[in-house]
Amino acid sequence: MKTNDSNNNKWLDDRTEAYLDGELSIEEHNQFERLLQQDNDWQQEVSWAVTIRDELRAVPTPEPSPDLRKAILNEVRKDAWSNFRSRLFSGFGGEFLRDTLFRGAFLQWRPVLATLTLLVVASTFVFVINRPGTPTPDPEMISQAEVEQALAEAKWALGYVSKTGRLTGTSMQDALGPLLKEQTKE
Amino acid sequence: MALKNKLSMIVLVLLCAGWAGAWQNTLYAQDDMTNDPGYIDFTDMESRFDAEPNFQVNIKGHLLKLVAEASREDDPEFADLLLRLRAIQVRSFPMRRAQIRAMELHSESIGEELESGGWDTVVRLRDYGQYVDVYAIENPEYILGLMMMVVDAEQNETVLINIVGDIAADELGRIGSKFDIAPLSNLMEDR
Repeated sequence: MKTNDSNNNKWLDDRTEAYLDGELSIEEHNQFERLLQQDNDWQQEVSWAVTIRDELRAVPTPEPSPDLRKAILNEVRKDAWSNFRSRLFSGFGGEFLRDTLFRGAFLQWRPVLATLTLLVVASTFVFVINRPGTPTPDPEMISQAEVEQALAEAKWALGYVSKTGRLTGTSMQDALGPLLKEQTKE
Repeated sequence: MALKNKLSMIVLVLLCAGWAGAWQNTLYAQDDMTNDPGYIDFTDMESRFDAEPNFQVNIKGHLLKLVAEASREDDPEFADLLLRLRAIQVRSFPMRRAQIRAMELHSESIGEELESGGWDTVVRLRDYGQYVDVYAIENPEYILGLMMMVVDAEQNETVLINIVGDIAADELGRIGSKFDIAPLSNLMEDR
């Protein structure tokens, strides 16, 4: 009997917190309440535990000072950046790259990297803004009159080729026909 | 910063400048057509003639697509032909009758260069007062480019025409024959 009580006490003790938090399974919950009804001491224990939980919940959460909040956020950011670097470099070169790029060399080469970035941005800007002798303007820059003019010139050029072919005593088809036949044979 | 680091920095900046230049050239190369086998760079040929071209046409890229779409309603067949082309280039040079022999020599020299570059001579006409040369370059499936050179003593002009793209010769002849060929001077007046 004593052994049974001892077992029940341990069983109840292990599950009191989960019981109060509503995290027990239905079977365990029912068994917990059954044992509780049989034991006044445990009823008292659970009642105290409920009181303590409610008291703790009633205590207002203290607001951290702005300085403390800032310090905590800085630490969190550092930690996140450190994790990110570890994940990044474990895939791209490991310890050596991490040590050289981020500890010593990064500070040393920072002016160079800044210059390179500036150069890339500047060259992109120059390329976009000042494209010398761009042969094909953007469609938005081409007026309807230019299109009509080009259409007339395209017709003229193709007509000229066709007409000259006929005037030479042969058509372009006749002239190019042997070439096309050879290609077909191949 | 130590001298060694300064030197390294200068070298890196120069390398980056070189890279940026190369990058721009690559983009320009994509935009121009110098790598297209059917394309002929007329600037090189223009230097052989004593005069500036009095008429030139450069239709390619977006302009060529817009021209194709502009003609679609009136002539869908012509629009389809244009969409398969990548460029139409024309140069006309004024010429005096006395220059016809010099022009013949020019045309022969140009022809030799084209042939050495993989072009085939498909038409060569030597008539009194008129020389006509037509060259084509092809891959196993298509004609990739056509070059026509006409020296016309009666019209006092030398005309170079380069058509770049997937050219179907029968289509080119048939569709081209529909168009009324006004004298070049009419086109020049329209500009």
